[in-house]
Amino acid sequence: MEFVNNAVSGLLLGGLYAVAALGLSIVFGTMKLVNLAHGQLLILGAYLTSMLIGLFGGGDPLLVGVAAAVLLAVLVYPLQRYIITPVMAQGEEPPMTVTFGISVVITTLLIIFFTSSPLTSWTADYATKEWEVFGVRIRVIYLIATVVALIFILALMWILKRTAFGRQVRAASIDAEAAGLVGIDVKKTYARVMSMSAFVAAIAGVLIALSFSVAPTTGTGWLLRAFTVVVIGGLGSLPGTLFGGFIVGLVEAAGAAWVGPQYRDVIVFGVLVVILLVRPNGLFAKVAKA
Amino acid sequence: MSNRIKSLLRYGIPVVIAAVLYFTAQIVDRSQANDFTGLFLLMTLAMAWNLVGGFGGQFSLGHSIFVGVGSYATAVILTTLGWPLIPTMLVAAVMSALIGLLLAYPLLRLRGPYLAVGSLGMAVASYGWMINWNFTKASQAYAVPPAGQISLQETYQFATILLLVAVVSIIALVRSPLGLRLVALRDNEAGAASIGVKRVRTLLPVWALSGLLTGAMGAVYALQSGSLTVDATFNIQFSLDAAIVCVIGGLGTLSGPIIGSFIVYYLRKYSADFQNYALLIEAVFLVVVVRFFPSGIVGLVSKGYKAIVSRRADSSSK
Amino acid sequence: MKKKLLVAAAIVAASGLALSGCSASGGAGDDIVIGTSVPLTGPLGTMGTPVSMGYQAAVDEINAAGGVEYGGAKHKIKLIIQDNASDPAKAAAQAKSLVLDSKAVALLGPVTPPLSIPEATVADQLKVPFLTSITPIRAFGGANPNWNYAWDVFFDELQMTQTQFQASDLINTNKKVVLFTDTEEDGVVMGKLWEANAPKFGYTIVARETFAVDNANFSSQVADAKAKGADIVIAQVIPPEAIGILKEMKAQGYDPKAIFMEKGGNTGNFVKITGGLGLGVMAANWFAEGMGLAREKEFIDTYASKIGGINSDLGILVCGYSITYVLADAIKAAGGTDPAKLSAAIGATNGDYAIGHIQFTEGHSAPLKVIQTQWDSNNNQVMVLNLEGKAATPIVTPEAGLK
Repeated sequence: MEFVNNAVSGLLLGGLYAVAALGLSIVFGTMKLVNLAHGQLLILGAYLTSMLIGLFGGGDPLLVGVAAAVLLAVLVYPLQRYIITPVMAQGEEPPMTVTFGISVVITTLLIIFFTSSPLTSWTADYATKEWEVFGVRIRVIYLIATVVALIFILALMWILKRTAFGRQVRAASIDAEAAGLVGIDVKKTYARVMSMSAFVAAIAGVLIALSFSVAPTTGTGWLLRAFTVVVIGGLGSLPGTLFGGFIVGLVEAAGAAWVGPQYRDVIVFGVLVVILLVRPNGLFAKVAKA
Repeated sequence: MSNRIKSLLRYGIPVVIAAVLYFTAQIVDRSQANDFTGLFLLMTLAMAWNLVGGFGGQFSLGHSIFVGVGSYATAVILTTLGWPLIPTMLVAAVMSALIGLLLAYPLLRLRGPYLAVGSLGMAVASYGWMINWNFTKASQAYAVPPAGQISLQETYQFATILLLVAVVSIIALVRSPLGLRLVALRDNEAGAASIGVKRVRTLLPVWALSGLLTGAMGAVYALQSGSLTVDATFNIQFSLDAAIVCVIGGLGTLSGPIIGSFIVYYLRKYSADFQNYALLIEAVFLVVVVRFFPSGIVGLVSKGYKAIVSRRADSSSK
Repeated sequence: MKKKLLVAAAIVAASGLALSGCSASGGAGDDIVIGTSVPLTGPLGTMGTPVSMGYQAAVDEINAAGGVEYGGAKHKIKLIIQDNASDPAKAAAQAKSLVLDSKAVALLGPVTPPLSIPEATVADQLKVPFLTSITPIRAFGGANPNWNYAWDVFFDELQMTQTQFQASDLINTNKKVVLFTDTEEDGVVMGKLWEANAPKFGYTIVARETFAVDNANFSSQVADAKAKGADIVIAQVIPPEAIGILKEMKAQGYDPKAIFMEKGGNTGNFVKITGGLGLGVMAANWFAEGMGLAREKEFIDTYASKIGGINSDLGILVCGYSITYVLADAIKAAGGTDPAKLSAAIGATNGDYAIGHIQFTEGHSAPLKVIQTQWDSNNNQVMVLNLEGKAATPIVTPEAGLK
C-alpha cells in the first residue's frame, strides 16, 4: 500500500512540477530562449501575492494569485521587450547570460526588501489537507496543481492553435524574419509570450508556496527541477511538459523508496542524462512543436 | 614576417611575460600575490571554459565537476598516498581530463540548450554523489595536507605557471588545424561535415584539454584554499562565473576571457564592502554590458578600432 | 590575429604592473581594523544578519567608550563587514582579502561550519586571529584538530543532542523517536549522536529519515514516522525543510507529543512563517528569558523588537556581540595586535560575557551550554529546559500548531 501511496503522491507532485515548468517551456518553444530567471519569476509570483494579500487585508491565495500573475505579466513585458529581445540576435549565450543577471537582481532585491527568511505561510485550509480514497492518500494541493497544469496546457494549446495571437506566435517561432516581413511585430509578440509565461509562473509560485515554502533563494532549486521536467518532456512541447513532470515526480518517489532520498539529485539528474542520451531532444520532442 | 618569427612571437610573448611574473614572486607582497592568484585562477578557468563554450559553441554548465575532481584528487592523493606536490597536481589534472572525455562522449550527442542542461544535470548529480560519499568525508571539510606550509608567493607561482600553460596550449590549439575544424563546426555544422570534419573526433580532444586545464586550476585552488568542501568545489557557480567572464570579455576570442576576468575579479573585489548590494551591483553590471555590448568588450574594442581605421581611410582618400 | 595576441599579452602584463601600485589603504593610523565576511544574502542570510548586527553593536559601544586601550592610548575599532552570499569559496576569498588588502588584524567569523571552516583555514594560513560562533564545536574540531589561530565559541553537539531527551523526560511519551536529518554536516554529525544518546536515556529510534538538502516532498517519510507511532520527532534541517515537514505532518494528521526542529526551527517569527503550524515546536537555544544571564533583560529590551521577538536570532546577535568583546579584551590583554600574542590572549579568555561564561578548552573551542525552548503564540521561544537540565516553563503538548 505504501508503494501505491508513494506513486500517487509522486505523480501528483509531478503535476506541480509541470506547472512550475510550463512557463520555461513556452518561452523556449517560441523564442528558443533559455530563461535562467524562470525560478525567480515563480518566487516573485508568491511574493507579489503576499503583498497583495497584505494590501487587500486578506483573500484566498489562489484568487489573489491571479491578480499577482497579471501584475507580474505586466512587469516582465518591458524586460523582454527592451532588455532580452535586443540581445537575442547575438546567439544563445548573451540572452541566457542576461536572464541569469536578471535572476540575481530579483533575488537580491527580494532579500533587501523582505529579508532572507521564508515567506510567511498563508493559512489556506486546502494547503494542508489530505483525502483518503480507497486507502490511498491524496494531498489536495498537489491535486489542485495537477488540475491547474491540465487547464493551463489546454488553454495554451488553444491560444496557440486557434487565436490570431497564437498564429503570430507560431509564425515568429518558425521564422522570425519571415514573420517580420509579413507584418507581424515579432518584438511585441515575444514580449507577450514572456508575459504569458510569467502569468503561468506566478500561479505556479503560489502553488509552490502553498505546498512547501518559498524564500528569496529557493528559485534556483525550482529552476533546476523545471529544467529537468522540460528537457525530459522535450523543450517546447506542452503535453511533453506534463509528462516530464509526472516522470520526475515518479522517479523522485521511486528513488526515495528504493535507493534513499539522500541520493535524490543523483537519481533524478542521472535519469535526465540517460534520457538525453537515448533521446537527445527529449521524450516527446515530436509530439507537438508549438 | 616569416612564419618562424611569427610563431616565436606568438609563444615567446606569453613565455616572457610569465617569466617576468614568475620572478616577480620575489618582490610582490602577500596581498598582491593573493590578489593575482585569484585573478589568474579565474582567467585559467574562463579560458579553459572558452575553449568549449566559446570556440566550440557548447555552453557547458558542467565545468564545476572538473574543478571538483582536480581539487579533491589533489587533496586525496596528498593525504592517502603522500605523493610529492607536483606529480600529485599533474595526476589530478590528468584525472580531470579523463573525466572530461568521459562526460564529453555522451554530451556530444546533445546540441544547444540540451547540452547546457545535460551538462548541468551531470554537475548536479556529481554534487549529489559527493555530498554522500564517505570516502571524501561527504559534507565535512577535507583538509589539504600541505596547507600552511605553502606561502602565498608559492601559490602565486603555481598560478602563474598554470596561466602560462593555459595561454600557450590554447593558442596552439586554436591555431592548429584542429582549432580551425572546431570553429568551422561551431559556425556551420552541416558545412563542416560536408568537407569531412568529424564532430566527435574534433570535440573530444578539446573537451579533454578544457578538463585538463580546469582540473589543474582546481589543484591550485586546493592549495590556495587549504581545505575543501563539496559546496565550495562542486559548485555550479564556477561554470556560471566562467560563462559570465567570457560573455563580458568576448566569447570565442583569445583575449576575451582575460579581459573579462580582469573586470569581473576587480568589480567583485571593490564592491565587496557594499555588503548585500554587492551582488546587485554585479548583476546589474552584467545585464547592462550584455545589453549594450553583446559581443563583449573585445567586440566593442574591435568595432571601435575598425571605425577609426575606416575613418582614417575615408579622410586619406579625400 | 597577432594584434589580438599582443593585446592579450599586454593585458596580462598590465594586470601585474597596474596593481603593484595599488596597495590598499586602511592599515595606517591608530584604528584597529577587524574584518568579517558573513552571509547577508543566500540561504544562510537569516543567521548572518543578526550575527553582524551583534558585531556592529559591540563595536559601536566600544568606540563610544573611546576604544580599546593598550600601549597607553585608546584605539577605535574599524569593522569591515562583507557579504559572502552563503558561498564558501567567496567567504574564503573575502577573508583573505580582508587580511591582505584591508589589513585586518583579526577576523570575526561567519555562521555554520560550511562557512566558518573555510574562513578559519584562511586565518591559520595567514596567521591571523579568527574568532567565530554559531559553529558547533565538534564540527569545528572535526575539520582540523590542530587549529592555531582560529577559535570557536558555541555549543557542544554532545550536550546539545541530550537536551531533546531531557526535555522529553518532562512529558509523558512512548519513548519512540523518529529522526529527520539532511545530508549537511550538522545533520550527519548530530544524527549519529542522537542514535548514540537515545538508549542512554531509555529512548528508541524507530526510524531515521535522511534526505538531500532542500528536499520538498516529505510524504513517504512522514507516513513512515506516523506508521511507526513515534511520539517524538527530532529534526536537524534547514528552514524550508522544516516548513515542508510540518505541512506534510498537518496533511497526514500526524501530531506527535514533541517536535524538535534544530536549526530549521531556529528561524525568527517561526510561528508566523509556518502559518501557525510551528506553534509548540521546540529547539535548542543558547539565549532565553529566565536563563539567568546577567544582561538578559537589557538585550531583550534593546533588540527583541528589532529582531522579531525573543528567539535564537537574538541569541545569534548576543553571540556576535559577546565574541566581539572577547576579541577586544584579548587585544587589551595582549597589549596590541601582534597575531601570536593576540591569538594566545584569546585562548586565555576566562570570563563572563553577555552569552555566559567563556573559557576555551582543547580544540580551540569554548562550549556554551544549551537549553530547550518552545515556540509560543507571541512568536517567542520560551525556555522549557534550563541550564541544569531541569524543567522550566511547562512544555505544551502535543504540538499545538498541528491540532
